[in-house]
Amino acid sequence: MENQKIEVKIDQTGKVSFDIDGVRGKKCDKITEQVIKALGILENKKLKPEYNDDDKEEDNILTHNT
Amino acid sequence: MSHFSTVRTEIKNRDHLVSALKQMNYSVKTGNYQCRGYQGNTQSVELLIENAGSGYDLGFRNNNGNYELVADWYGIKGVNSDQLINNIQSEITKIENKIKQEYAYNTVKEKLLDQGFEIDDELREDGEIRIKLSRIV
Repeated sequence: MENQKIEVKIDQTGKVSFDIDGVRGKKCDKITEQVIKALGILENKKLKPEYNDDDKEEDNILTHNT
Repeated sequence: MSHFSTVRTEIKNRDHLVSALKQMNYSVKTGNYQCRGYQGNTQSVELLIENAGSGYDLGFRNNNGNYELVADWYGIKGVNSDQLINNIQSEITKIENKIKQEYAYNTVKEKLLDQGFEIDDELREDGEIRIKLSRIV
């Protein structure tokens, strides 16, 4: 069982960033995939140190145009 | 003799232009109006601000996708067209950012709740929105 946590920040210009914890491997991509598809461009992707472990966590920052 | 002149802007969205003008406390009429200038001369406009200065009007009309500002600048005293357009543009940017932010907020919530996440906390502070979500899988 995983206790998956996400903190989403949306700044004044609509830029979205995710801070994801407790998600193993590439499942974190799956979680953000639908949001990124709907909002637009993935601007920046920072991987946490755990990236090389089985347990992988990441931050995503994206921008979009309405 | 007409003193009317037009100033082209980069503004394309009529709704955002009207919202920006209202935000700036202008009373805006939308529709087909005549913008009044010197000696009863008029110009057709789509948005009208009556009595913008010295009894003359300010107007906007769409010209090939961009809105242009129309006025008898000879008659209107105390209105700087460049300054006015900059202020409007600045208001429009704020409005568009707000729309983008709300769109992002709704999208993020919809897509994450669809995946079984639940909202633990939500905060709006200093113009930023923070949402904390979790799920156990």
